[in-house]
Amino acid sequence: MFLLPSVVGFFIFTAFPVVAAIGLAFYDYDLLFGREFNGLQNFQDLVKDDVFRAAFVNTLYFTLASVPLSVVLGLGAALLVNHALRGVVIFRTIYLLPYVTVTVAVALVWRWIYLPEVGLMNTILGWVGIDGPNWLTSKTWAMPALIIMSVWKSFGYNMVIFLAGLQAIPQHLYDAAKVDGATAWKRFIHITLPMLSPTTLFVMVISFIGSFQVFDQALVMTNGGPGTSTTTLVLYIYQAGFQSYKMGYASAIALVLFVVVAAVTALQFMLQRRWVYEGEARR
Amino acid sequence: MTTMTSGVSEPARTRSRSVQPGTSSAFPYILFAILAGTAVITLIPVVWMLLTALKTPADVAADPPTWIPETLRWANFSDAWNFAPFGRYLINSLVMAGGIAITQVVTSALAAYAFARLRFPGRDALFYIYLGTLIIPPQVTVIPQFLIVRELGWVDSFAGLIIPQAFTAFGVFLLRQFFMGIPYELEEAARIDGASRFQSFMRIILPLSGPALASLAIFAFMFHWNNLLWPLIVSNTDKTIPIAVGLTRFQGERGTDWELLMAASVIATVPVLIAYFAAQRWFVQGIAMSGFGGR
Amino acid sequence: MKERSGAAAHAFDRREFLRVTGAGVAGLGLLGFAGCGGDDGGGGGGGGGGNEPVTLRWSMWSGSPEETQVWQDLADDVKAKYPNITVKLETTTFQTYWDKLQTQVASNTQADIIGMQAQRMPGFAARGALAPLQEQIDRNPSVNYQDFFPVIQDALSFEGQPHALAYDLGPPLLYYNRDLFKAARIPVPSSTEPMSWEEFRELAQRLTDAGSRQYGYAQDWGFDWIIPWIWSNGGDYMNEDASASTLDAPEAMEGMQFLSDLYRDEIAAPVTDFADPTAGLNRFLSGRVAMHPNGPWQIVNLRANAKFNFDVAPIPAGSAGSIAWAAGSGFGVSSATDNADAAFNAISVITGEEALKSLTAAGRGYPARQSAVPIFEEERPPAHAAIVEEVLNSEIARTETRPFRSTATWQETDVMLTQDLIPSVFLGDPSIEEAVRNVKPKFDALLTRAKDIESRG
Repeated sequence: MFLLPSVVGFFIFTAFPVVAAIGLAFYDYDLLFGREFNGLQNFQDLVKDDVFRAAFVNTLYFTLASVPLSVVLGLGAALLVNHALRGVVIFRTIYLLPYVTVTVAVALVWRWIYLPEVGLMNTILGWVGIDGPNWLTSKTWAMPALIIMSVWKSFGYNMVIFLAGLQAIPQHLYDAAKVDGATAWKRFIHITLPMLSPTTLFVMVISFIGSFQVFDQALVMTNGGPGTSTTTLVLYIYQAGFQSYKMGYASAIALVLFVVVAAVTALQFMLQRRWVYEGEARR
Repeated sequence: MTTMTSGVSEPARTRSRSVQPGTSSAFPYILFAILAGTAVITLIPVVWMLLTALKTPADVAADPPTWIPETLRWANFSDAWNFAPFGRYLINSLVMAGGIAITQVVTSALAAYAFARLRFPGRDALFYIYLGTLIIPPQVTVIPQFLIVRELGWVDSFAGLIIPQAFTAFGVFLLRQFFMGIPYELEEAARIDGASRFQSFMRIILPLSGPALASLAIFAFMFHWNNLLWPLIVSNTDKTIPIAVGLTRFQGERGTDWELLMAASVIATVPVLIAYFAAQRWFVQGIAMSGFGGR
Repeated sequence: MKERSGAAAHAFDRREFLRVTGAGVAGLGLLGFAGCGGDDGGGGGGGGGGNEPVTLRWSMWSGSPEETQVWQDLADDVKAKYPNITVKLETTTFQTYWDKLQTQVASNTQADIIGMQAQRMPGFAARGALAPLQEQIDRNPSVNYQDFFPVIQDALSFEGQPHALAYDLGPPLLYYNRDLFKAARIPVPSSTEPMSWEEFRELAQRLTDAGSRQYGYAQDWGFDWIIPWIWSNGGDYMNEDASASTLDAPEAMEGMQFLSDLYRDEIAAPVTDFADPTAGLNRFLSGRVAMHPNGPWQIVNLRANAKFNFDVAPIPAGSAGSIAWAAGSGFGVSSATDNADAAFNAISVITGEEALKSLTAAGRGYPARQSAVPIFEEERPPAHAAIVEEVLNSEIARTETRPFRSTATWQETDVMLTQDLIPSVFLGDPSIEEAVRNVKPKFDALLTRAKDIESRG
């Protein structure tokens, strides 16, 4: 009885769609004409589709660049604000601020920051003598532009999780190390990092899943362009499904997205044994 | 084990590292400088948005850009209001995000209670199915969800915006962990006094779970206020369009009137900022709990 | 016990917080409501006429509040003529309109009256989204169908059946900023004779001062605006029976290359925003661009937003002449509506003689009805409004106007070209040849798919 509302809704709107998404990937489904089973045709088309290939590579590029940056910055910020300094909470608030802003709204701001002539980015680069590029209309720089914006937006979230992890590390470990004369750097390497590794794993998994879903920024700031240089997998799902009517094809892309996310998540958990500290398990 | 002295409330279990008395006395200043520098960089885009929202078109076009507008043009806000029904969009967002937050808390709390306290066949299997969906990107299910909503005739309605988002494995998981931490004895006493399961849930568990429920609610609210893809697909007309979608339309309409775009962005952002500052503790706790939940 | 009271305090805080922020946000919202009420006008039935009161939804794109007001006035005219019909206008930007319309059609939530553009018509008609109108046109002689320009009648027909009544049509014109010409002491382009591509390039060059970010030319980056360069050079984008793309013919590639070189040589204002399809128009509106091609439908926006004097000339003539498309827009009736007759009556008012005259007077474009043309030629600016009719009728030497040809998969074709061709033209990367090599098989495949959809539909 407690379960009923959740389970019914969950099965209709989450579990069933997962199954349906898999099924639809094997259909030619024009939204207005209905569907027709076509076996593996969608996947054969995907292999040949250079837009899909670009979207896949772009998403990978985005992820491989933004996840490490945002994890490292998040950890750095967490270490900084973990000091009992007057007003440190204010800084924590500020660092988390980008995360709570509305993506579409700040994407608009960043669109302007990146304008070549009057934009802030190139003005600031100009101060140090760098002639900045046409960020959002350059095939080379459009993706880095999205990455910078996304790291700015997400590192605060990672900071909060790291902070919680840091504060769960027993103080006596540090005290003992200090007695042994370990330097701050040694304490960081030998205590903080290992003790924090479960948190790090979690942050990496979450960041990875999140960045594979990147959509808002790409839609608002570049609409996937120039060409396909910022077309991401989710943007392509949207384009194929809701602009070209090809629901089956879009489902096939979604299925690829799912498989990749699931595989990499599984891989990260498998590799965790190598580096995640599991002693003194905390519940 | 210093707790913070800054007067800002912080749970007592927090253990921040105190600045070492033994280290050089310059350390706090260096630390402060790094903190402040990072904060300035972080704030630039937001400050820029606020300042630009008050600029005249001439200031906006200035090359090189000016930081502080010469005259504050508050009329940008009323102009933006007049160009698009932002009031309507804000209400739509409030109804949508609020509706999702409330329904998520209700359905999650009920299910979490069942998973935490009741014994029934298949419980663990069902729970693992829930867990499994946590790693599925929501975009994967967008197309079938849209087709279902279409079958139900819910396209362009609040039902279509809210209900598919109302059931969250994440919320169930989060609250289950929290409920499991509540001592069983508290409930037992009530049960002995003849309270039904539901009564003990309402009278014992829920009141003790205020912070967790608040965290989930505020988290869901902010997330869905921000969400773009689903409403972009489901809402078509001004009667349901939330502010995030409204902004993308406004962008198409006033492509380069930056002062208006920024004013509109400020309009969209202020409500979440208010919510953030007012409920920061729960929000941060929600994130932190999600962090612990992952382990 | 202690713990419980602590939790209660939390709960109280939360409730208080929700109340406070809730009230705050709702307050903001209400403020906005008050701010933009009045738009909706009268809802509800309205009796009289002996007919059942009906409310019709009308979906349309609009780029500015001025434009929306023009459509709203026409919705009110419907009410005046048919008191039982209330038309509720729903507008969105041109950019988002088509995606939304597709989702609406797919979910059967489309409006009763649908704004439709000639080049997108086949995609929607082939999928059965629009009702054929021939029978109603025959039943209602007062519609005076012959008054519409034949070229737009054709453009809004699918398989010989009219699927929409038009309100405007138009060829691209070369808008120019008179003030910039005056400042540079350069005579303005002739309105009676198109300049050659070479003359055009030289003129644009002289009006460019990249240091002060002033440019001779800027155009919107959509494929629609590349077509005139292809045609004027004797090329085309698909063959006669729309079975194969001809973008790889030398004429087509040379035309695109000429345009591309304007951008490479920085005679044209660099595209700074591929998220904004009207980036070129916005550049022109900024007053720092001398020449810009666009349709007569932009006159209303230019009158309202250009802070300089402007006029129009025919677009430059390439080796084959000054050749552009005539595209137009109109209103169709949804095949899913319950009130097909009322919807037809409504569009007959919205595209009626009176309506088109007032639309034209408002500068909403070049009227689709011949009877309204004189109004267009009276309104100023632009001073040379009369050239539109001359261009349409190919009365100016070397000018030619052809119908815009599109297919049932035009929407996808457009997306594909945006991804694979547009960067070559405007950024020069990769080369036009390389882009066309990539585009050609995709274009061909989309043409095949279009034939398939048309035969199924």
